[in-house]
Amino acid sequence: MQAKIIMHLFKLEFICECRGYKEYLFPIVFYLMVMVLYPIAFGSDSQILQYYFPAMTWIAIMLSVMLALKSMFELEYQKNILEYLMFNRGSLIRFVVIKIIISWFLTCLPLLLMVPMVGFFFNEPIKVLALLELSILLVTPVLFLLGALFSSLTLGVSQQASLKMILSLPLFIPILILAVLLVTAQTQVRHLILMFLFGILCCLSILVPWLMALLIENGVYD
Amino acid sequence: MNTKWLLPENYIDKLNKYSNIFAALSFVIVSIGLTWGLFFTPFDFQQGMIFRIIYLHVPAAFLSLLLYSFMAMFSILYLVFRVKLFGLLALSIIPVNFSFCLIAIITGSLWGKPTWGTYWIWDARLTSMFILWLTLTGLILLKTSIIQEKRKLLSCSILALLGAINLPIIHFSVKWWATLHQGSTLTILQKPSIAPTMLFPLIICLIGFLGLSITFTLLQFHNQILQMKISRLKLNKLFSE
Repeated sequence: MQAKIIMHLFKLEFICECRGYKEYLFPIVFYLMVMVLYPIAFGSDSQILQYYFPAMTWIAIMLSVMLALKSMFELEYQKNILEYLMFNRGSLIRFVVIKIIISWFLTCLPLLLMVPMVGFFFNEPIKVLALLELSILLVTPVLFLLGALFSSLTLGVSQQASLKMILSLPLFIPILILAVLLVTAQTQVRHLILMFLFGILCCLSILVPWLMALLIENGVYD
Repeated sequence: MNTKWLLPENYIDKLNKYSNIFAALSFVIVSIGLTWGLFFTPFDFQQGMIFRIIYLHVPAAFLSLLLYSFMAMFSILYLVFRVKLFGLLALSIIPVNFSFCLIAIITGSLWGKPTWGTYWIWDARLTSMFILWLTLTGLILLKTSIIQEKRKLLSCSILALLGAINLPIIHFSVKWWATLHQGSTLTILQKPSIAPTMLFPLIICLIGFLGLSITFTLLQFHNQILQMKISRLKLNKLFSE
């Protein structure tokens, strides 16, 4: 019964989000734009571009994820959907989790497909591309969870998009460092970072929905 | 059980007196420590006069970490017990902590130019300190932009706790990674790596700046309580009309 409800909600949310697909097109176009700008600015030395490709990709991905997070939960806040869900903590947490998963899916799956395609234009070896895919798969959920938490911190506040960006920067910087290291580091260090990132992901995926429910219950609608 | 001490309003009369006492004491101690440190200490045989900036840099850096850990502690207390006193204390530490962090970064980069040959380098210690400063900036912005009181306390304490992950990284960054920054000057368990004639003014400066930060925190706390009262009065007026 419970599983049926959750599946139904997933389907509903997925259809709703797919209808507003334009919103999810922006991060991808933004990513492509930034990746095109790098060779223009750095010059066409293919060795430099090849060497810095993981870092460039990660900067572009982080910026486009920030762009995608800009209006997360904003519509739900304005239409008072969160206020209806507030009376039952279970349904609020369920909604938050489903929303995060769906928006991650719709933003990062296209990015996952885009990165190897762009990588071929930079003459990247397959191994680096595979590692990049792994790091994107592991780290973007962390970014989305943190972004969801920050959007619940800033819901309804004036200039919330820029505030969210400033708040998320100090926590995104260490994650950016780890994500790039995952691609460029030695094998032993890579295993350590992999485990560390996985640990962060596990902790946050438990902690964030609960914290968001706490924040929404306490005074978002006052 | 007497729970009267948990109400922030009870402190409003005493706060001015205490902050005055702390201000006078810390002013005297800081002036003694700084004049001793900046004028009457022997020159360092490698760095010469420039090492004297230590008497500003080390207390500021030490206090920015200490104040942040106190803030994290108060945030935990607020999140667990939901007592407004702790939340307000955590909030009132933020601006003081911000300014100490900024002083530490600026004096550090001024010290870095003659000794390392560069104002700034993106190594572990400096970057983690910069991240701490960014966190504090975010906290100040969040604090000023949220109006509802309960939500403000809750959001700021959660954000402060998230940023507290950075504290051990800052502290151990000199040991874990090879950085330009030297190891800690003052350690509790081992003998300090500084000559005693240079050490005494440093300790005096530390105590003085600690008193100064307590003064500013108390003043800020006073301000927070007054703001809370004002918003409550406004609400009451709104309801009575």
